[in-house]
Amino acid sequence: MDDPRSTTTGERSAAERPFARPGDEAAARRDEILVARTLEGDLAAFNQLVEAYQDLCHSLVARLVPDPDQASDAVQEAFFSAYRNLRSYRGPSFRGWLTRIAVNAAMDLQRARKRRPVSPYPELEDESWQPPAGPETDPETLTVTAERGRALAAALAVIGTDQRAAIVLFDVEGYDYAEIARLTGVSLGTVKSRIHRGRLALRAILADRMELFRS
Amino acid sequence: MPPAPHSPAGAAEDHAALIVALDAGDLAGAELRAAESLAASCTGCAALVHDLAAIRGAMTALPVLPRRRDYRLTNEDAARLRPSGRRRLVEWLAAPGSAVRPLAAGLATLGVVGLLLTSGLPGALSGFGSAGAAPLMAPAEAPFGNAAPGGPAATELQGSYAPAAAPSGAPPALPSGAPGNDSGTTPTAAPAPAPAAVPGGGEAGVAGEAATADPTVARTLSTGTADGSAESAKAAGRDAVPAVPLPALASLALLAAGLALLVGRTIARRRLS
Repeated sequence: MDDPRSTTTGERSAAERPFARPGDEAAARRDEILVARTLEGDLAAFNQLVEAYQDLCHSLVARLVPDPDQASDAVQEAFFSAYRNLRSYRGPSFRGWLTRIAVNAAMDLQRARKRRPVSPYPELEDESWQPPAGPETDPETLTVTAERGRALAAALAVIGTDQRAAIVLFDVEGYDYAEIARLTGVSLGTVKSRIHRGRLALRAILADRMELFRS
Repeated sequence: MPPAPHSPAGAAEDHAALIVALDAGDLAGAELRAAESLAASCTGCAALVHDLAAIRGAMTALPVLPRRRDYRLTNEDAARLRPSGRRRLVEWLAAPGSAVRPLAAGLATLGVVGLLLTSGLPGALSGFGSAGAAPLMAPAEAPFGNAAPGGPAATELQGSYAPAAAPSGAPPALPSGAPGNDSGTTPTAAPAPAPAAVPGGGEAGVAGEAATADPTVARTLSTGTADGSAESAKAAGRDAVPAVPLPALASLALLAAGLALLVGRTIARRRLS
């Protein structure tokens, strides 16, 4: 098998993990200082934390919540909740703590508005939308990538909330099983099961369009 | 027994759980070898493996939608979200490591033990209807006992009324009067409880108390002669009133406080979750 994760059973090396970067320690120290200042009543300090993490939270929640307005609401609620409960923060990582709040906010919101018909990722329905330009600037490749993104996003919007969250956190955000279990408050076995079932569900939904992914 | 015939067309469905676990890298040992064997020998399984890998690969390229809102908090947001006193109380109640639960359990336990000691336990130890049940009457009788300063005349009056009141008042007075009979220690005290049930007779309570607490006093009261007996009755009344209900009330208060803390903690945790 050429799968780089085939022997890792869901655990990833520090190099693979998206948040184990060299600057993380400095960021963590900065976060601790800002948290302390916020607890002393400095709103500007908290807003610096918001500025540092709002893109991260938005990209994460937007993948968990298909409806963009609901996703924005969930992110805003996550920051509200973080500010309200900052006294209960015990470390060691503000980033991890905030991520957990954001994931919970996204899942709570979806459970609350379950089965409400939404138009998933309307930006992706817009034919003019193109993925951010990367090293592959070939127009045909860009078109295929965009089409693939739309198909995948639409399929993700159809599967269950829990399965979507597990798949996004594992495949997109790069968390391992244990981190996802901690983030979502379920057992390791449940995380694995959700990812397995979610992938099979995606494959079933995309069965007619698999040529798009094989190319 | 030979394995079931393997159909390539249905392989993906038959072995989906095994193949998806293989794709995720979650297999080891015999399961891993079985899954790899399937993937190598069965076209349906191999196709599933490739499809899962392709989907997983495309997932990493899932587009990120641009952020359209600034999530920084305004002063109004902060003022609204800043924990109030009530909020802090709720947080204290709901905190996982707080002392609320042990405190509540301790208070409730003290309350239950106190209630048992002040009422139930003595009765259980000396049998139903024993002297231990007498304190249960005390709260009702207490006001009458406090009205004792009627003086010797009042005592004489009640003493003279006692025989007439006895037939009608006896049944209600049984709980406090009967124990004396059951224990066999004060047979002469049997008529004495009757005055305690004299309707509207404030001082009668004193006689009742005295009869229950001290048979000698009861006998004296029933003859309506000794002035000193009134003082004894008052003293007995004073002694009986605060000794019994206060521990019971305090126990009830402790139990209520403990239960209230537990209920408050449950509500607070539910609210914060």
